[in-house]
Amino acid sequence: MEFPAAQKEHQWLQQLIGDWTYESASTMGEQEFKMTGTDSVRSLGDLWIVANGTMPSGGADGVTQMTLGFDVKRGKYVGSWVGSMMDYQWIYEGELDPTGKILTLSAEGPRWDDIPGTTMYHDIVEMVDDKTRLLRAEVRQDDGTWKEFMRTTYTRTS
Amino acid sequence: MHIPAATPQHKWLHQLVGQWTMQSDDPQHPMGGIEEVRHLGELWIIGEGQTAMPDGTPGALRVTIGYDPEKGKFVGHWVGSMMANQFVYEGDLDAAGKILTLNTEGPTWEEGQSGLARYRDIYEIVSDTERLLRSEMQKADGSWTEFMRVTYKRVPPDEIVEPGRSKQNGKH
Repeated sequence: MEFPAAQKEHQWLQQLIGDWTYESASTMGEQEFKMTGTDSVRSLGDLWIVANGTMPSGGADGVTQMTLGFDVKRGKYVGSWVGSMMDYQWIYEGELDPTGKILTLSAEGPRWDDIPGTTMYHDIVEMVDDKTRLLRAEVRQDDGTWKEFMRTTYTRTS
Repeated sequence: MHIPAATPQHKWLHQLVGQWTMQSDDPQHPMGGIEEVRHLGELWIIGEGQTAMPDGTPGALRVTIGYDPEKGKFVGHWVGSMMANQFVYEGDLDAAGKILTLNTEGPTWEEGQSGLARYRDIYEIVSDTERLLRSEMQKADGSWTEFMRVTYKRVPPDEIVEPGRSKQNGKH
């Protein structure tokens, strides 16, 4: 079997590989949450990365898994996110900005304002430098604007 | 944060947890390997597969399966080191509680066709220690063709390979 060769988009993901700690601040309604944890990012061949996160301070010993790749035929970054605290699977599709620093991943997810149905979310991965990256999460509001509700700073430990 | 309780469907998935050998008996695509299935909390299982492709190249597979009570569907995701596209699963358990059929779509490999085709991965519990995975693709004429069948056998507790060591030992 011939494996597809890794493209520059796949290579971009490789810079996430390593061990990280994070600090996160989120706002849900009137409440603010702070959280710290770790994230371990590994390659799955040349085409995918898998990130396993822990949230020891979140009030519930959470664990998460994110997969990210680049679908050459669709010309889009694709991936998924699941966490031990949620029975909903998030499916990503996204694009890198022209500067090559910011990967915006879009996903449909449940609303968290008690209204049934789903809305759109962004998880925005930004490479600040080799040792620092940001993850900003935004939710689309009913008026069409995007509201940031979480910001996480990751610091490389190895 | 409110964490949903595991439903019977989540608990059904827990029987897949453990270490398994995989063997495809297709003479044209012989493939062997090992899969570690673990919990991600109570709501998800994650299978990490290490295989040797027919030409000996190592392959890595990652399958994630859960159950979404809101949708009333099993949901999940499959990626492999040999493919740049992801397969997103949605499916149902049969009435006997033995066969989980997960539907997805992906690029067709039917000759003369292009674009996307429907696929299904059919997970069947044979016994406590054996399960089957059959992969089927729907052809342009609407018929389904099986293109892969893998038998999984549970590794007995006293023969489990240490995590990490199995990573170098993909071929079983």
